[in-house]
Order: sequence, then structure tokens, then C-alpha cells
Amino acid sequence: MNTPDLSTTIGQVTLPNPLLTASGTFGYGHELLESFPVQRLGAVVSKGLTLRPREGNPRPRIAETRCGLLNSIGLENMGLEAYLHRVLPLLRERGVRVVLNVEGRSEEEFYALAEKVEAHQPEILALEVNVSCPNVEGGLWFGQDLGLLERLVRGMRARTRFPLWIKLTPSGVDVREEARAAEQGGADAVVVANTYPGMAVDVARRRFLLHRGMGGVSGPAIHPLTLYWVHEVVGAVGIPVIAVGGIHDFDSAVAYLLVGARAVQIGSALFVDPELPYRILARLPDYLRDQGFSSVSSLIGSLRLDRPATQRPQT
Amino acid sequence: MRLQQVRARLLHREEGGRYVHLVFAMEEASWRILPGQFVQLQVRDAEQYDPFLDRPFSVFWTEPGRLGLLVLPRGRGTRWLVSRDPGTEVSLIGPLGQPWPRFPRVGLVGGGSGIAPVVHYLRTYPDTVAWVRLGFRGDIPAFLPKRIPASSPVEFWSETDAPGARRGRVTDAPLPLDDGVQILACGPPGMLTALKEILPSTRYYASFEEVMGCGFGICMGCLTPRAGGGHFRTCREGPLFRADQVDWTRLTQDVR
Ligand SMILES: Cc1cc2nc3c(=O)[nH]c(=O)nc-3n(C[C@H](O)[C@H](O)[C@H](O)COP(=O)(O)OP(=O)(O)OC[C@H]3O[C@@H](n4cnc5c(N)ncnc54)[C@H](O)[C@@H]3O)c2cc1C
Ligand SMILES: Cc1cc2nc3c(=O)[nH]c(=O)nc-3n(C[C@H](O)[C@H](O)[C@H](O)COP(=O)(O)O)c2cc1C
Ligand code: FES
Repeated sequence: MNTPDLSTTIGQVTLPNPLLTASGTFGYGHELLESFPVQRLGAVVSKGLTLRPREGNPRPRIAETRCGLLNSIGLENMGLEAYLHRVLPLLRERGVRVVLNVEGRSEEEFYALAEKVEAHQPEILALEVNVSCPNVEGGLWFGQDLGLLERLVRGMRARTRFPLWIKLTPSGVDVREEARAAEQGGADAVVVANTYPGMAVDVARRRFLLHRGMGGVSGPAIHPLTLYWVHEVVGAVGIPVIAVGGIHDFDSAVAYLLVGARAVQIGSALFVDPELPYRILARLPDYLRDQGFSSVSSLIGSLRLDRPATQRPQT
Repeated sequence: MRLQQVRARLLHREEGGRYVHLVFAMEEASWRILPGQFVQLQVRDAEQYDPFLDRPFSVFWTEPGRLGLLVLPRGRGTRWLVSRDPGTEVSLIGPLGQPWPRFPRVGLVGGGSGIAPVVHYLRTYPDTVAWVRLGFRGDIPAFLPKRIPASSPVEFWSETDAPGARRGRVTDAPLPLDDGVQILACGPPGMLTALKEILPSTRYYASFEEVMGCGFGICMGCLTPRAGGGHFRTCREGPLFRADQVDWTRLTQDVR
């Protein structure tokens, strides 16, 4: 059998493989250029960028929880402009494919971001729109008000020709409904999902572990929760779904492809296993061959509750 | 600095005082980890995923293919680590952080889990070291004097009665500040703050123990408040900072 085709398509975007880094878990993207073959990844998603630089929340910003962690970074970032001038060229020089993750505090700010990106015409694949950050005031709101979400996506669609990937929150309303609203607004893809709002308490000191009290839960602990939502959203919308949540090994990444995600993003696992994406990538061809698939595309969505039973594994 | 993720195999474990000295073999023999740098070490079975995060540890000593750590058991992760049997393999990421600067003349202060980088500095640049003061709670680990070059100007202090140590805290007697000596210190927050009160802030460098997500600059989880606003990433720009560059008020206020 020939070498399996690892490429995947997300709307107009074709990636050489379906492995991406998740926003905020791989710095700005340039930090590890000397250490790992970053250009081999399907793409790198930038840290969440805002119109102006942001300081983020006071410490502690990280607290470990069972099989995962809570973070309340608060979107510390250098701002879109600085990123486009200082970081993007370093990545492009090395052939790294980049997705820009952006976040606004208001509708107007999101639109201004879209306009700015359109004006710069940077060498990026897509704009990932974070409507789901639990760590800034009003951050989750967009993801929880479906009318507003649809309007926001439509407003951004009108202002930029870059593909729009809408990153949804797994909390509150039904993620399927969020995805439909994003699709209605003209999104090219949805990213499922951001962190789950959470808390941790130090009982001995009777204090919250995070300065801000609440934060977002990520890591292996959330994998089954997000896997369910990815499966459900794939069945609910016609646009591509990108999965992110709790990937920690080969199986947890491939599970998302099986239920229909067109690509996956690796997040917190990079903190403890920065080589993980390259190991998954190296093993993918053998897995496809062993399972009788000639390509990643044919693997994607081959395990669905809404498909005829013949395509389901024998139990 | 190129960072690597390698397998480290526990070769040897020895206890002394409240400490455990761990010796690891690393497949990657070309590493040179300078004084003040640290590694992130897995503190769980590889496929267990709990505790999820790696733990930062300063390097106590290195030789080609070998690495020594000095661990003070504290919570779940460190307790897991110090009770491993030789042969255990864990993932290790390093070298991390900025090395401590090499000054013509230094005084070194270490306490608690901050003993390791001080000893590594002393062993690496013995000629620059005017004096060393190491503070303990309890006995001086028996293996420690063997790790310190003979006739080094080291004073041991202990908060309890301990053989070979003066009773008290490292700040209980004046620290010699003559000849433009620069002071490098690592230890518990209380010690670092107490030193800040008695040392000139342009000659005092403190290494901070901050909760880390990654340890190499990609999570923005660690921070040391910067004098005049903003902050440093402790893991990348630090963990050692000159005292006048740090906002000590925010440093102590924020802590949980
Ligand atoms: C740069 C640096 C160098 C260090 N060098 C050494 C050393 O040489 N020897 C040594 O014994 N210890 C050292 N420490 C401290 C060591 O990392 C902590 O004792 C350890 O992380 C505690 O983990 P735990 O699971 O036992 O504790 P828990 O309290 O269960 O840990 C819970 C979480 O808090 C974090 N945490 C708790 N205490 C600390 C702390 N003091 N510093 C940073 N994170 C903490 C843990 O990493 C974990 O994420 C160093 C810390 C830093 C930042
Ligand atoms: C420290 C940290 C910072 C993050 N920052 C962002 C961000 O800036 N923008 C964003 O859309 N998501 C951010 N996320 C969410 C991740 O991209 C991802 O959706 C989430 O962590 C779940 O994936 P994981 O379990 O693989 O980490 C952050 C997550 C972590 C842990
Ligand atoms: S610990 Fe992740 S940036 Fe410092």
C-alpha cells in the first residue's frame, strides 16, 4: 500500500496533516522554533490576540486539578499589531503555517480586529475567533447568546475574506445550537471547544487556588466531555469541525478524527509533552494502514452513532 | 537555548535530613546545565496523567549523562518522586531558565529547596565565591558536605539544634558586603523577603519559586511582578531577578 495521505481540508484551507497546536498553549508560536520541527505541524494557532496589548490576570494563574489544570491567564498578549510585525515573520520564515486567534471585549472590538487583519493581509490560513474565553469579563457571553453570536459572525464575515473559525464554549447552552448560529452567520468552521469554567479551593487555607477564583479546566480530564460535543456538533452542522480538548496521547487525538473532526488541536499536553504532536504524526501512517484506510480524510467520521451500523466497529 | 525532552532513569536515591538526593541517568549526554537553571520533571507514571503537570527542580550537579537533584518532599508530586525505586523512568525537559550570572565576587545564600543551585554555583565557579550561607530546618543532610568542595567558605545554619550548624536563620548575623560582593539567593519566600530588607537592592539577586504550567515560556502561567509595572515570565526571563527590578509589594500581595 502507498503512503497514506495525511492531508485534511477545512473549507478552502488544505493542511498537510490534521495536527495543530491550541491557542494559548504554545506561546506565540516562535518560542520553540529551535527545539522542535514546528513547520511539520498542520498549523500553529497563535495565543489569543487583542486590539491592544493586555497584561492578563494577577497570579496565581495556574492551579493543578485532577488529571488536568485550571488556568486564568486573562488573555495576556502583545496585541495584534505587534504580533503581525514581530512574530508572524519569524514563523513564516521557517515555513510555519499560522492561524490567528483573536478576541474582542465588545462586538466593535471584534469588528476592528477583522478590519485590521483584512487591511494587513497577513500570511495566515484563517482567523480563529474566540467567543468563549472564561478568563476575561464578558468573555463567555458571546458564546452563550446565540442571536449575538450569529450577528457577530455575520459582522466579521462582512469585514474580512479570511476563513473564519469560530471557537465555541462547551458551557451553558447546547454547543450544537452555538455551532448552528455560527454556521448561520457564515462561519467556515467551528472549533469545539474552549475550556470548561471551573474552580479549585485550598481547604487548609480556605482560599481559592486561582487569584481570580474561577478559571478554565483543560487537560485529559475534559477529553470525554469534549469528545461528546464534537460528535454531536459534527452531526448538527454542515461546516467542518475542529476538535480541541484533553488530547494527551495518540488514541485521544485519533478518537476525535473518528467521530468526524477534520483536524485536532493539542493544548495543555504540550506543557508536559511538547514532542507529542510529532509522535502522533509519526504513528498516523501505520495506524491508517493497519486499519485499512488510505487517507486521513477517509478515516474522518468513520465512527458515528448516526451512520449505518455496518460502519460501526464490531463489539 | 535549545530545549529537549528526554527520558531520565533514576539511578540512586539517598536521604539526608528532610532532603532526598536523586541521581538520574539521561540518554542525552551532551547537556550542560549551568548553575541556576532548572528542569521540569514528570512526577507520575507515564500513562497515569495525574498529577498532570511536571515539577520544576533546580539542578544540584551535572556530569555528562548524569544529573543530581536535591528534593524537599512537599506535596503529592514531590512525595511520589522521592519514593521511586531506582530504574524508574520519567520524562525530563530542560535546560530551562537563565543561568545565574558569573560575577567576579559573590556571596551565596540558600535555604529550604533553594540549596541546590547555590551548591551547583559553588562547584562551578569556586574562585568567585567569597562566602556561602545555607539555612536548614532540621539536620544537615549527611551527603551534603561530600558534595561541597573542601575548604569552601560555607556556613550551615539550622532553625533547630543540628550538629555542625549554627542555630538560627541565615539572616540572624550580618552578611559580609565588602569588596563589591554580589549576593545570589534562592529559598523560601520569607527568606528572600527578609534578605531584601537588609541587602542593597542593586547587589541582591533572588531566585523565585513560582508555580509553573510549562516551565519554558508557552503558557504565560508564571510571573514575577516587575518594578514599575508589568511582569516577567519567571521561567523564561528568570527565575533569578535583581531585587530592584522586582515589585516586592505585588509579589507578596498576590500570593495565595
Ligand atoms: C525554578 C524552581 C526551582 C526549584 N528547585 C527545587 C529544588 O531544587 N528542590 C526542591 O525540592 N524544590 C524545588 N522547587 C520547588 C518544587 O518545584 C516544588 O516543591 C514542587 O513543585 C511541589 O510539588 P508537589 O506536587 O510536591 O506540591 P503540591 O503543593 O501538591 O503542588 C501543587 C502545584 O503547586 C506547585 N507548587 C507547589 N509548591 C511550589 C513551589 N514551592 N514552587 C513552585 N511550584 C510549586 C506544583 O508544581 C504543582 O503545580 C523549585 C521550584 C522552582 C519554580
Ligand atoms: C494556559 C492556557 C491558555 C489558553 N489561552 C487561550 C487563548 O488565548 N485563546 C483561546 O481561544 N483558548 C485558549 N486556551 C484554551 C485552549 O486553546 C484549549 O481550547 C483548551 O485548553 C482545551 O484543550 P486542552 O485540554 O488540550 O488544553 C488556553 C488554555 C490554556 C491551558
Ligand atoms: S511556566 Fe509557562 S510561561 Fe512560565
